[in-house]
Amino acid sequence: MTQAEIKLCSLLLQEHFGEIVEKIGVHLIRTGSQPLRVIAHDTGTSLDQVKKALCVLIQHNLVIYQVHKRGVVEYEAQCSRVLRMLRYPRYIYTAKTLYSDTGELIVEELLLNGKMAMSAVVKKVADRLTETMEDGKTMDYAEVSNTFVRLADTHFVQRCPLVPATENSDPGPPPPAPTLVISEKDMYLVPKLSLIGKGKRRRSSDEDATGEPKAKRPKHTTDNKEPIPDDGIYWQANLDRFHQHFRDQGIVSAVANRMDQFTFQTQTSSEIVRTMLRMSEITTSSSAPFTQPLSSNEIFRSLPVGYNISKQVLDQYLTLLADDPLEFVGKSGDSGGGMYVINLHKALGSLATATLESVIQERFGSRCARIFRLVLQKKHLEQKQVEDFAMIPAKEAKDMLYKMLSENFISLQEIPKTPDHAPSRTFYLYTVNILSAARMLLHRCYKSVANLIERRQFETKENKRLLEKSQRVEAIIASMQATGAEEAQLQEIEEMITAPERQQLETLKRNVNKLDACEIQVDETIFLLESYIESTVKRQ
Amino acid sequence: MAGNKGRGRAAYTFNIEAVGFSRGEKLPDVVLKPPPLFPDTDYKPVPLKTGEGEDYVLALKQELRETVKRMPYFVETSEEKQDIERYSKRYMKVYKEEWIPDWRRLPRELMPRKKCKKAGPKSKKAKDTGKGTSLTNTADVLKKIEELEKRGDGEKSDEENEEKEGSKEKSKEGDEEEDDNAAEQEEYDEEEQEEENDYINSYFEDGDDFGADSDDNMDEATY
Repeated sequence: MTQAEIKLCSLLLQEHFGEIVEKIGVHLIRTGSQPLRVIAHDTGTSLDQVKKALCVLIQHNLVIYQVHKRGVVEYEAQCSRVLRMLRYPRYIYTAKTLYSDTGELIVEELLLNGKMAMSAVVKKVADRLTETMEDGKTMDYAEVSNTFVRLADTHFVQRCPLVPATENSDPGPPPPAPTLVISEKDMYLVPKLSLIGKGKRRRSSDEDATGEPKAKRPKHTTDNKEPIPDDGIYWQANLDRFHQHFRDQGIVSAVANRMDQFTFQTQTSSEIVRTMLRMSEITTSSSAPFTQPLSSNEIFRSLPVGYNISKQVLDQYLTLLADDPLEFVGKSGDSGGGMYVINLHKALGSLATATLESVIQERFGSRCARIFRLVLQKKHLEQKQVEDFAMIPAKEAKDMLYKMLSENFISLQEIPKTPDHAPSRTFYLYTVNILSAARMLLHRCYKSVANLIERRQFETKENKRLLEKSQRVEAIIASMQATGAEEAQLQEIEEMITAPERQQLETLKRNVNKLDACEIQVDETIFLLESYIESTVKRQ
Repeated sequence: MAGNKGRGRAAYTFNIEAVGFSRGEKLPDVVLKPPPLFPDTDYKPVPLKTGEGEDYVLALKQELRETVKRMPYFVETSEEKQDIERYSKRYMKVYKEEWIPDWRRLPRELMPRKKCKKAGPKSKKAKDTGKGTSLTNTADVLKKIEELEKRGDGEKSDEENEEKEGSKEKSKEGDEEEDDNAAEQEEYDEEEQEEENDYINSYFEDGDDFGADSDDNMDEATY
């Protein structure tokens, strides 16, 4: 794992789980698979704390364990999974767009808790939804269950591997750790539960009044201890499926940008591509280079209901898409009116290349971008040829090439004429290796996000005193409003925060929002580059 | 003779034109320090995307950041004991739901050590659920010895330890909750102990023992 990735993982773990879990997590990421005692010894933390940290990390699918010979259990951290924590808001928002508020809360609960049983999820989500509803209305468990089943059917949530049922005839001592198994067909099987009930609204007497000493409350929650019907069956969010959805979104918007500007009927090509992708959702695995071939007739039948384009027009569009040099759609046969596939790998490659071009354009200027595209197109070019083809004066062309070379967007390929590699008798060709450029850019993205998080934490820490003061004032105002206070008194309290302080708070809020928005958008680039690299590596 | 032409004169082995500048041209200054930390860029960054979706995701992100701090998975670092324990601090602790992992899915060694019903400091040694807990047992025994020294009188501390064990067992069996780290538990029990008496324990113990111990060791009479 690169230093940049480790730093980013450290910041994410610290924000989500605190310093102890962060220390253990980062140690595991750095050193690989280790047993419990070694972790405690190397990090200098007490055994109890290490145990607790590992429980938390395993619960959230960030660490896995394996039983080795002689009963030693080793723990291994999954660095790439830790980096996914940056994307949680995007997953939740996607669930909201697809399955509205219920789906959003289900996915949020699963992400916050790592794994949960279905009955627990349904109950919690129903309670939360009931809170937001008007007085007197409650959320029925059945509705939440329905949404859960739909999420499972479309593979957005999946079952966690199960503890195998042990037979009583097992003679030896129980193993030090269970080996969890899951079969492919069981992964999305929803247990037959009859969850009957309604969401409960938290009664106002239970709410945290500010005067109530919280430590006096009983330690255990008010949940009763009856056995849950789906005990042992845990569910987790299926991040791969979300990634597939993001990838599809990316392809559809790319097609829309490219093709639909010039047609009168808006969005037709992208709609066709979206339909094709939707039909291939479950049949094609997420890492396949092509979707399954779809016949033109099938596509025509599956178009959304509102679309009334004739079969001929559809065929024209498909031919247009297949002939496009970007090669998003390919024709694989003629049966059924023409068999078409979507080139997922090529599409990801085009998206990654477009990202690289865009980065160069914004960093170095459009002439540099022209040189970059030129070298990309012609594969290998000598310096003289670059100047000629790009029609840029020699000195400037050299300057730009060297700038890009120093930042590792472009690389040099030496072709010696003589065995002694004498510089005067060697060809130096400029070339773009997309895979390595993408890796380099990805590394920079990780660094950027780490910088953004650090800067945000710094800004917050600088103004900590002011933030605490404003929170206190807000709490006072809220409690005074609850007990009924005059306008004049409220005004007086509000004036405790002076105008320049208010200004400072405004600036802080604006900066933090900007930094957060930056993190989210850099994460979109990270997703694109990671998908491309993963798809390329799998094909090699 | 012809070969001496090169001696004492600089000659390049490659075509100098290809690099981009000719001989004798003024080259840029030598760089004497690292580049600035925040260099000026010619091209300013593109503005961020805005829109309803982006705003919603931003709000989600900030909410999530606050929510995770209140979850039971956020393990607080145990702060060092302050000089004066403030009464209000006990009551300002944020109420967090306890989380009990499903022990069937986890390796056995991650479970907190169970304690038997035997009272007294020896009871900790007797329990040995997981393998390799002997090291931590001796560490605990050492900790116990340190505490005994602090408290001074062996008898009194035995009583206190019995009470401590008793309260620990009660809290363990009553709720079946996961062990918070041992330090936190001991701190909490110490507070309980101190709360029960009106007087500070250490004060009395020192007074009781000071004379007695020194009498044992010294042969001379005390004045």
